[in-house]
Amino acid sequence: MVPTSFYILISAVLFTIGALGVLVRRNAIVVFMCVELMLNAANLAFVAAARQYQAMSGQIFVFFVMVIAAAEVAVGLAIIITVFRNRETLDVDSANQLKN
Amino acid sequence: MPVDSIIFGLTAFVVIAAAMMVVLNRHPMYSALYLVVTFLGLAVFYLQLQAPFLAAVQVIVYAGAIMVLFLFVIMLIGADRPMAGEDHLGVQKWLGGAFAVVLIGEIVYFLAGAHSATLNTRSYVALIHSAADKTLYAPFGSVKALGSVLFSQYLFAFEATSVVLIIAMVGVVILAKKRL
Repeated sequence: MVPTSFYILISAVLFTIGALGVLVRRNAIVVFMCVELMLNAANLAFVAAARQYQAMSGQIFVFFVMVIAAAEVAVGLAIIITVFRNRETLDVDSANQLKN
Repeated sequence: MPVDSIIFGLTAFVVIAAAMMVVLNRHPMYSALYLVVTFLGLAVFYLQLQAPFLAAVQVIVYAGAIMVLFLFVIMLIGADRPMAGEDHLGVQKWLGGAFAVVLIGEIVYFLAGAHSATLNTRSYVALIHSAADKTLYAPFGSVKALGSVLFSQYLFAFEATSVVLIIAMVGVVILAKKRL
């Protein structure tokens, strides 16, 4: 059995990669994918902790995170499409004002 | 060397490498495909961690539904090539790298402290079990165990997510439509 701390370490590395991607990329869709990466890192930590304590609640939380992530992706991509329609670019720096 | 350690090592390598490629690749399309690889690797982790139902949901919902949505949008707005001007980041790139190093250092430092403090504390485990899973007789990780907890203790949260999904759906239709 692989120790729980190994999974937590992988989760930490994944989260860091996601945060790095949000910081250094300017393409809105890639930034959004990196946010998904961070959500999945949190999910992995949840599942690892659930096995460590033999408590089902951890897996239930992952279930809810997935549901919220699905809703978030749908709304976020709709926002990206709307921004792209108004500005003809995906650069996150171009969307710097609320007024069109 | 036991088999599950070998599987863990291979999967960890694939997951980390694919996640790096998501960030480093300049084509959004390739980033999305590498993200699918990451999600599949995480599904393997879930299988190893006694969560077969979550592994299936990970493949179906994340690698299936969510990534199809991403690829659909990438193709729809014609972003399947490198974005012009993304290379001119300058100092931001180095600051981001420094931030990532600091972040992983912090996480590992605090986890190393937390590991010795709480992870093996028996009373903490007993607290969780007395709160949540006392009436549970199905084996840990089975679909039966998941369902019995989800539909008893977390029933309200489960119903609330349906409202969230409905609101998201209505919001997406209003956002994405040119004229209502």
